[in-house]
Amino acid sequence: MSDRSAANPLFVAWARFVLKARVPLILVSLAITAWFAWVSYEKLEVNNTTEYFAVGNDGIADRLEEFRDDFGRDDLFAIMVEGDVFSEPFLTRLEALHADLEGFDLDIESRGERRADRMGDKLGIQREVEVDALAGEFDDFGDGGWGSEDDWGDEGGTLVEEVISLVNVRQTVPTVDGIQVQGLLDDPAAKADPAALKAKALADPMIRGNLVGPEGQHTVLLVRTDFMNEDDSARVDEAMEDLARTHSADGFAVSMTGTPHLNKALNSLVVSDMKRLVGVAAIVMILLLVVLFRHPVGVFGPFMVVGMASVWTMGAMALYGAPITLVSNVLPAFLAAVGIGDSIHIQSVFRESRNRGMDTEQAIVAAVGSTGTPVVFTTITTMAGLFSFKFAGTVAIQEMGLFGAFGVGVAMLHSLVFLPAVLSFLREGNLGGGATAEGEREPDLIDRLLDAAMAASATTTGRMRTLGVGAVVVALSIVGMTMLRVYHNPLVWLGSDAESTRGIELMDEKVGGVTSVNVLITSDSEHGVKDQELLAGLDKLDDWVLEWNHPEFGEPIATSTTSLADVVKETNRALHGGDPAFYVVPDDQRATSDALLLFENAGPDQLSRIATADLRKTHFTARVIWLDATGYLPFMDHLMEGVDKFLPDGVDARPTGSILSVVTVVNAILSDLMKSFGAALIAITIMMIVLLRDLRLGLLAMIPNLLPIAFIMGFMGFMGITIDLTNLLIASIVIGIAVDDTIHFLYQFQAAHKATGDVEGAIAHAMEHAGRAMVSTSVVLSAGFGVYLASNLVSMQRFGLLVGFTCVIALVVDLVIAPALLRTMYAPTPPQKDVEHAPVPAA
Amino acid sequence: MRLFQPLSALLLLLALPALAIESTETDARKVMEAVDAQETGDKQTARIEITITDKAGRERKRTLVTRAMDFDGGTRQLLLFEAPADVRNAGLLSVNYDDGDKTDDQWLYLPSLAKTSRISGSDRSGSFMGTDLTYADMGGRDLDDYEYVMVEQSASVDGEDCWVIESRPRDEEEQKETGYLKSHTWISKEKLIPLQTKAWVIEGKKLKYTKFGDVRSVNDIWVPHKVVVRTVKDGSAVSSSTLVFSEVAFDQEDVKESDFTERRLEQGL
Repeated sequence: MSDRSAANPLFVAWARFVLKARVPLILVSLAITAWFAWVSYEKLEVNNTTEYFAVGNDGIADRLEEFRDDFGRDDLFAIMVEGDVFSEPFLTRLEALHADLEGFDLDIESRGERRADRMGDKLGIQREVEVDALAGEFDDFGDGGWGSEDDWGDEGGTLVEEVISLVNVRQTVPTVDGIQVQGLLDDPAAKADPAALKAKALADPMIRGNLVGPEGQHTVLLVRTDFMNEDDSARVDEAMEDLARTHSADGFAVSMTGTPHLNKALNSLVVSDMKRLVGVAAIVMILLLVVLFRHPVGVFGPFMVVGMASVWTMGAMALYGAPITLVSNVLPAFLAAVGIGDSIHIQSVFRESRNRGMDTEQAIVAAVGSTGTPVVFTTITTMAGLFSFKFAGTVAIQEMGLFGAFGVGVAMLHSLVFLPAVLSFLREGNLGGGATAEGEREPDLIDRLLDAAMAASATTTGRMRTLGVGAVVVALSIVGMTMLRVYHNPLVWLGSDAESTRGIELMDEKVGGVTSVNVLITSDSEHGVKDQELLAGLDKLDDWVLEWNHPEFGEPIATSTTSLADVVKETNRALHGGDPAFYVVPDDQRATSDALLLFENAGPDQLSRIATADLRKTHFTARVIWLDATGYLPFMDHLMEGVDKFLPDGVDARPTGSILSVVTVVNAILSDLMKSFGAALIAITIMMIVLLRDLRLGLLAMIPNLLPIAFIMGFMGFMGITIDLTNLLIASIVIGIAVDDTIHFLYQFQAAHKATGDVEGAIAHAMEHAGRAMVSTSVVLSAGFGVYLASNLVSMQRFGLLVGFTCVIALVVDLVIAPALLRTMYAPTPPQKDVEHAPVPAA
Repeated sequence: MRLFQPLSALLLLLALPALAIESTETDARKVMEAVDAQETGDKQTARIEITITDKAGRERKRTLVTRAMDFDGGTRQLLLFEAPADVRNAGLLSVNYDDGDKTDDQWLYLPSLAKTSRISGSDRSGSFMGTDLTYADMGGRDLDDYEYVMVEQSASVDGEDCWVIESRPRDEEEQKETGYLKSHTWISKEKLIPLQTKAWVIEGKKLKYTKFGDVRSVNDIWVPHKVVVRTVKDGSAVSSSTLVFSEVAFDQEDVKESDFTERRLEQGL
């Protein structure tokens, strides 16, 4: 390593090439940027559905698709209405709203589109293959019996497949000599006697707490449509809200709620957040660049580097089909923070070189030649940290890692191509560096800080004290880490005042919640899902679930259940004159089959939503109130325990649903973290050893790399800051950043130490040549992540603060702990050469 | 919501004797009148095998035996389940009135209850026995409730020359009752029966294709012995149904008034 020189010949050659081809290189860079910008505009999607985060985990996405294939869409549009529900004016308005919703239509392009159809191959989702059971039968129709694009045109038809409300809730009621199946309000006399209707409705468990609040002051209309993409879902939600609001009146307060509404709110927040973060990041960056370089070229170059890195990254995501999520939302600001670091290093050396009297081209060659190696190495280590997410089970997180790494690589490329090319147009000035030589300037705040850091472990006592404090911090951090908790609740991100949050909470409180847990049940027994033993088991499972108190809240979280057992019980009761004693699953097979035969013919549409055509597959669904994702874990355990306990042998029961997706994701988070972090650790350790070409120093370097992470995780544990999808990436991102400081510091230390053999001198040299740049980049990184404080999302603000804080900790560790460690590892030796004149690389 | 509906209506719809009408007729209304005005057979019996299939190809099969008889003002029908075994002998007795304003009467017998229950409720756009056919498909309709347009003078179905006629409900009420925005019917010029239909289902913007096949003459009445229906949405199947008729006979002497009583319903097959 002693033959290292200030300028790497490879990068010197590279800089000369860039200078020669500067115009074509700038034009090509801008052209590609324009193309990526167009691709992003055309194709980039936003997706924050929990299902998307489930993709890649334990087949849960497959199961959710299977559920939707078999039983249709489970996330319904919901409209909540407040007022005196059981009054004639209210019911009349409700009927009008119901009728309007039944006729609702909107021209949407993605109708019937499933994410699994578009991205099944990429995401590894297996959907059931559609079978053309009547192949060839419809050949005489011009369109082969499959419909054609222009079949509907503007002719009418509705997007809505079903509206479920108090108006049409199915009632199987006894009559004098038989039974009657009808909607609740079908009987004209019903509205005329609101008191009787109220008593009847509130006594019905299918209505009370499901469609109508217990006090009769709230009711919900649920609207089922075909599948569609997130953008169209947001449009439908908005249009439906507009329609519903036209019915708003005194005593009839209408508001939109439900999962699609919540997703819309989250997506629009992510989009507006991204715009805001990009805007604020741009301002912060420009300000910093103006302060540091005081010249338009010095501002324009780095600004374009990070801007282009973001645009290329977004374009690549769009091309790949990766959506913007709450996780990848951090990329632009992250790339800005990381990308600007490279530019600062290059422009700083350029400025120093100009101060030394070099012309522009010589200064560029010197800057790129001497910073090329550390810039490439810090980029590679950051990329390794991000690539470690490849080991995550969750596709959304894998994508964040993949495109984060891509973006960091692109930022490096632009720093080494676009930036020097732009700098070459600077003919006058030196980016605000003044004309005095470096060694003659007055000590400033940074110098005083570096002196203090240097002095902290200069004596044996100081060294022991520094390392002791470090050890105590590590020990405390480990204690704090044991207190870390996973908590995932998008409602908290929106804030408690958000309209969508209030809507979800109101649905929880009054009409049983918007979310559900499902179990897919398949039976190959003689009677399939009509099997009496199975239905009796499902009936017991009802109570098992509804009566279970959550250990944390001490009360049930399931508000209602749906299964074939309910259908059989309701029909059985109606067949027995409405006698409540017959609200049971009959105890023999024939009676059970008869009850289902009646339902099969009375409500085939409803049947298709609860059992497959061959009556071999059904589902058990429990509606639950909104909790953080981890809150459902004990419930899932209890539910599946009940499944094992009550369902007969030979029945295949598999849990599914959106909630389970989140639960699975949360479960996967910890192992993902461990896996990806472990991978990053190994990769970075190897790289440190390779870069420093010294096993001992490479391993020692991992201490300052890991300490900031231990500190921040411990800090989160003590402060009660929980891990969720938005901040679980902290450790892996922080190690990527911490390593940069360590590389710069140890690179300088090692070069000086090899040249002189003097530990103290080498540390002083590292402080002098790397310390200043480290402080500058830490300030820039902290400011960059500080941009997240402008986020709409509480979790993002916290994320920015934590990472920004960790950058400072990483700096302190490198400047204070690392010297103490180096002093301990290397025995002090008298100086052999003059450090000041040793050939060392610039920072 | 109606629970069961007599199959006789379907048989009546399908069983149409040939009528002298010019094959060059261009008036859609006249063609429909000719189709509608025909006498249909009485005292009929048949066995029907129903297969309901979902898009994944999973099937549910039902076999029923039925007999029907006209009376002044309507039709009576007895319908008994033969298979599967766990619903064998369940049955339905229904009285259909020609007067559309009058609600049909239905009685259901479930062996496990050992008694007959009267079933009330009506919804013509509801599915018939879980198939892709609705009660509206099964029942006759008043020609005056629709407007007819000749879509194509000549189209071939199974090698037969057909008129293609568009029927569109005149008012929203009829549209709501049937659930259809409009429908196209291919009518055989030779047999004067529909050979296929395509209907626009308002709810969820679906399309329903029905094919009447295996048309045979029974007592000089053209009877399709196989009806296949497929409901599609966005170019992919939602579900499909196949109804295969066998042992179709008219003017059967053993079809008597006494076949259409609660007592006979409870006797089963």
